Amino acid sequence: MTETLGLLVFEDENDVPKFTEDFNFTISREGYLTRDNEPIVCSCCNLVLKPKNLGAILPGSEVFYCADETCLADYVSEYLEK
Amino acid sequence: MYRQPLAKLVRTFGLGKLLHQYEPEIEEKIKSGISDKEFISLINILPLDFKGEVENHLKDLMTTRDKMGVIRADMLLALHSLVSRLKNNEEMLKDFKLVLKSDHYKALLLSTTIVNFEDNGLMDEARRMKKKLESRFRPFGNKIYNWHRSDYIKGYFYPYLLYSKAVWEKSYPERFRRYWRDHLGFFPDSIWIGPEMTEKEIHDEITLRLKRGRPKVFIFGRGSLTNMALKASQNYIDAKPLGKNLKKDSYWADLGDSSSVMITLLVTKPIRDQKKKSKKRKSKK
Repeated sequence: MTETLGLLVFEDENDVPKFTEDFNFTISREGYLTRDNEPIVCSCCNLVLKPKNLGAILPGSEVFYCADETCLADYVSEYLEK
Repeated sequence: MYRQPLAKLVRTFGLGKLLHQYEPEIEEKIKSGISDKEFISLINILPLDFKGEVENHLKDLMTTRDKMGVIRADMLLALHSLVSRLKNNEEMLKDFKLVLKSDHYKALLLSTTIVNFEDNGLMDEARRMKKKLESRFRPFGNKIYNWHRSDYIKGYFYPYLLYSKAVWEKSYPERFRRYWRDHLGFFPDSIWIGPEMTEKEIHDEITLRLKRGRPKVFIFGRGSLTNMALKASQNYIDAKPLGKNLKKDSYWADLGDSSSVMITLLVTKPIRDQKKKSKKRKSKK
């Protein structure tokens, strides 16, 4: 049986616009990531996300994290739940 | 430096900037797609605990349970480190997650990453993460890290957690949380020397523990603080009244780019008995 699995690894902020469509993101005039006109925030520290500080999106979810590694603890905590 | 091989690996297998269709055969592809030399450098660079399971770890990182995940390349190392260490302690950490406050649990996870970095010689990464841990989870982050570094999480708190679970069943989370909280306020067995501590403060901490009847007190010092730890403990033995009842032993260890010392102050003559004797003397008079 083949599982459909994916992890998108991006190098820097220039790559972010390439996958914004997959998540229905738009980048506002001020440079923030938004969806349905709502800013996207880090689930852990509530930082409003821009392409340059987007760190991770939890697999299989719409849970977003900033590029601060301390927020990874939250990411991994969620990861272990899956 | 570490990013290059990993980024190369990611590109080699079409993960970078693409959605990847993962199939079980990917493990074979990884095995055959990397030359031995590259494989070794990857193992050396990544903080892996076991070489034979590199493939499984990569699989773990890629596994998204039927959906897509996204991560920035420079965060992969920290994620990888955390996941690989957690996989070995998954059951223990899940047990802690059930009982600890969210912030305390996060600090515990971050400490795990730092310890893993240190154990694998990634000292710059470890220092950077530790600064973040200290600033974000003040005042308890550093204490939880110290416990982790000194093996108290696994050897002290976890046995108590299992014991609590068996004895108190339903009320164990609340009881364990209280136990954890009390220890964050005062850890009865050990003192970790911080850069801000004076010798007098160290002496006061030792006295406090001895007067509470502890049979031994451990003092931990690291890097430039090793001398401070040694000097303060020796001065205590030489100059303080309770010091006469102590025997000192030191254990040295190397932690990446710095040495650390664990000093044991062993009580050879119970403090309580002395009090009784002095009372007897007074009553005789």
